[in-house]
Amino acid sequence: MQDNSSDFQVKLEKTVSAAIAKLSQADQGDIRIAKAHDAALDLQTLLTRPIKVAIGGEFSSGKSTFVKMLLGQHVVDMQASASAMPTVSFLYGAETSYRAITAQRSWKVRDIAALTEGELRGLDCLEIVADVPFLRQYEIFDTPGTADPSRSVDQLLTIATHADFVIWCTNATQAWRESERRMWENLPFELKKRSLLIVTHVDLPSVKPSMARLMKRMKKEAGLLFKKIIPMELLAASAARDKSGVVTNEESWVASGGSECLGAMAAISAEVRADVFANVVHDLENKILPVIAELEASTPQFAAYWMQELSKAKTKLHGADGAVTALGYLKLVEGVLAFIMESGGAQSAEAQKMAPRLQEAHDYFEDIRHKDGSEQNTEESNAIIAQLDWEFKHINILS
Amino acid sequence: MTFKTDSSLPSALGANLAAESHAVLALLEQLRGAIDGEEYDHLFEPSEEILKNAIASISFIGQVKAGKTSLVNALIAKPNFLPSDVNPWTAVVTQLFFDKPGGPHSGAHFAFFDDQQWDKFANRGGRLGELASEIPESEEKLKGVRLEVEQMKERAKKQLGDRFQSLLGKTHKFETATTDVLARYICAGDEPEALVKQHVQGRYADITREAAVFFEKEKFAFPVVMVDTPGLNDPLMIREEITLQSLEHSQIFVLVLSAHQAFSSADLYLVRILNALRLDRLVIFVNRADELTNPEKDIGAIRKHITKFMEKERPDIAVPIVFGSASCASSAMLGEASIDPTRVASMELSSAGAAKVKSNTKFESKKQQQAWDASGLPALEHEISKMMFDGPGQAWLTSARIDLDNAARLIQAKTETALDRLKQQQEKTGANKSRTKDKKPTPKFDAKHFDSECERLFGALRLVVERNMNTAWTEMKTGLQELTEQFIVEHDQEFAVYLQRAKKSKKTIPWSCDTTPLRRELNIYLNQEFPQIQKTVLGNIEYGVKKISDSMVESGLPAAKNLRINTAELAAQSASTSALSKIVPIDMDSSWWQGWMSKFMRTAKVREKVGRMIRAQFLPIQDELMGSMTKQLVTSSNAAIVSYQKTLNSLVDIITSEAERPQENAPKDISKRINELEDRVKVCKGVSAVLKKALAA
Repeated sequence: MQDNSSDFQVKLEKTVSAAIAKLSQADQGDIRIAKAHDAALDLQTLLTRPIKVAIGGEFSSGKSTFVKMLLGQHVVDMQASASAMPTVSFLYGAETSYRAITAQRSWKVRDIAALTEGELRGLDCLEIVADVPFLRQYEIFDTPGTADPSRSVDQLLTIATHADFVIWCTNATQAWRESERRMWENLPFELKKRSLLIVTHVDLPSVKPSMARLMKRMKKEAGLLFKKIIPMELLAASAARDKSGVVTNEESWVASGGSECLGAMAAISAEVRADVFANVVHDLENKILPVIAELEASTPQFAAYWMQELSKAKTKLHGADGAVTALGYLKLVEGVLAFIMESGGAQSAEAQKMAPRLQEAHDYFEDIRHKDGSEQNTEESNAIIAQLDWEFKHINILS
Repeated sequence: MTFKTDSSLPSALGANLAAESHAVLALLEQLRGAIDGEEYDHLFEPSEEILKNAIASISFIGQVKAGKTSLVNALIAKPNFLPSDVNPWTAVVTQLFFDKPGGPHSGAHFAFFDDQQWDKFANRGGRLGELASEIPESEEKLKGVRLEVEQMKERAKKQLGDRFQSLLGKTHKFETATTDVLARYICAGDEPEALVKQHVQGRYADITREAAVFFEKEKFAFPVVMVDTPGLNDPLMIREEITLQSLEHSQIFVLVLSAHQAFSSADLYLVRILNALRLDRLVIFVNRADELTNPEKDIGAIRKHITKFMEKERPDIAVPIVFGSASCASSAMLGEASIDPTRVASMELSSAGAAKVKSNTKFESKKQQQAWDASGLPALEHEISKMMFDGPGQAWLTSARIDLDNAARLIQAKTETALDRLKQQQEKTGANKSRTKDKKPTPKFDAKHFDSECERLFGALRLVVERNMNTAWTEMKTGLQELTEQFIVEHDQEFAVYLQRAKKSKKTIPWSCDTTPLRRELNIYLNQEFPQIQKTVLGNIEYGVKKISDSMVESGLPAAKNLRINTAELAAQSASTSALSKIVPIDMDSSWWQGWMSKFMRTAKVREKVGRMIRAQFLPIQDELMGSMTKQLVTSSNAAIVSYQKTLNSLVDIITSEAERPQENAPKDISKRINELEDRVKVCKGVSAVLKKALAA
């Protein structure tokens, strides 16, 4: 599934890149081309963006340990002011940097450990950019713990609407309580359907022997509200991989639930991507490919012929006097007119519309050919040709 | 068993209360002993009844899986007695009686629901029902509970088949309570797939309303009932409902938290309900402290976190916080093999700062003793014991002392009357002329005058109490209304600003109308006012009683001077604000506000509606609050007055019957008899002196 979808992704990415290349060569003055070009660029970002994952749970549910396990390393240690932390977003970047974000503004932060609790409480989000391989695929939003009596607003609900899926952490010692169910109830169904429930602390001696019974209840009470419920030994899972996320202890990685968790995340990502692909395919089919098809349909038949003949004529007439130039252009126009007539119905309707303009130009050249003042004739002839050239390229606008 | 529990040790739970109670009973026996078989038993009854029927009720409450059941098992020194599980397992409020006055002292009773009681749960009183149309969330929640009641019935029908109908409203009694039997009645059990065979866990849990298990005194020095409750914040809402409806029957509460997530919003909610119910005797036990990764550091942080909220919620009382581990305590009782030394060490670290408290549980093995001592349970027992003494204990003791003092005074009065007569006879016979003195003539007691005086004075007293109560009632009602209107205005201003902002941004910004501040204001107001009214009533009674006793002394009843009115119950009353707790579950939070806002977009309408809604919630309960409080005061002051009047009547009866006794011939051993009666008066005076001192303290 993963491979298929990544194959498909490669294919889509290629198509989109090709479309962008083609459209950027075409005339951007044409509004349809410009629109298609922008749409293609959007699709490119959509195809290459990381999957957004919101991490939720009540306070002390093991969220931070879970995030640390995902990232493979402790990117930031804010345990001391845990209760004041806003949502922390982890993004990929070669250079580590931090930004503080509020609804009104955002600014760079040098040392996040220096932020006071009061300052932290005022933030909507703390953005951390780090060179962690995991973040190339996933953007993580670690939301503040819910059910914390010192917080009045639960940020998860806002964050979740921007996320592709949510991972909810519940502590096995007091797993899946009413307050969690109620919070979860508020999320949109589509989102819940592809979200995960991670049961933490399953390695505790008070829980471990009865995990089967616990899981039975969890499946009964929460099974339909999540894509999957995964019990995890977070510390063991963390220890089973090295800093860059490479599994060093396969057995422990599997036993701790780490492998199942990452596997499930990948599967959900593939689902999300499949949706993205569907959108990309839809936009390609409806907004981009028709424009390109038009470009391809008109260019070789008429416009290409026109451009080719024009450049031939221009080379031949270089340095010639007015009468010769007018005669040369007269021949060119006659030739192109003949091309349109000969190919008849095979030409697009737009091309047919060019005939009167060519006829007009033909008459004009006939006229100036017999006049004196060759300098002026050359200038006039060139101007007429330039006008025609412009009109043919923008035939869509004219029609 | 490798351990012994000793109820006679001073460290036993309830030991100090038991000691004081025994001291009062000893005085009573001393008095009884001094009156050689005469029929005074009815005088001793009130004090004896109080002390002999006293039982302290301790409820263990908290969220699901905090470890309430394990803690109760460890405290009663019966590890694994009540069944527990990794899933929420306790479905029924279970009372464990130790030395229940009047017995039984063994076995177990399980009472089943009947349809009426089920309806009570499903419909939770009328007020919520009335409000349901205004508060979408409460309706939803109530619907949930109703649905669950139906599911419970369905499940029970499946479990029990044809017997279901015949069991409703019945009680099952067992001679001995085994863990297996308990499991059938009080555990949640697993979903029955089809008709299940007999004797499975949870077979009767769905229809069991109340479980009671009975024991001898065992390790406790004073009769106690330990109440294990279903956890709060259970996705099965009916369980929370069962626990909440049981709260008012207990005196002392142990709020059990899990150290994993100590004090969440759900715990705060419970504290607020206790607060609203004026249930002040609260200990917080942070269980599973041995499961913390870094106990030394974490415990300080957790304590700070809890203290922060408790100080805000209950600035008036210091709630003790005890860290511990029920599983560590159980492991000590189960034997050396079950002890995990690293967890004991972790507990020792975590309780290093706590005061060392002695325990009445003694182990043969040092390792076990160490695990028990580190488990935090000795400290918890100590706190519970203290609360038993300060709380219900003091009220019982004071009441019993006053009643016993009155008995002593009555006996003294009767004895003195008899003594006077004997002495007069002695004088008449001239057996001892040398002792003739100028005796002050005691005014003759006029029974007729007494009756009319009594009627007049007691009538006046009742009238004064009633009048004061009415004045207070009107004042309080105005006060409560003012607070509510003030809140509506303040809230309206905030709301208007919000609405403007919301209009501008054209987005739904979360908004919450938190009525907690109003509830708190009302609660504070009532708790300030109540003691005032209480004081006035007590003052009225004191004044009236003084008047009455003066008048009685004048009427020739000098002994009336020493009789006391028993206002212990009246003085121990606190404001009953339970009506306020009824609106806690329907507090308005942002999620339903958003849905609601979209329905009413016109600003003025919305604001008007909000005000109306707050009024609709609060005004009717104000009447309920005042009604219950007035009733409380009137009932207890009337009870005190009636009982005082009864004592006075006893005194009159004694004196008149003694005075009207037909003249007999002087007994032969008159001097001996006089000596005996004088001794008896001495005993009475001695008892009164001891009681006076105790009552003054």
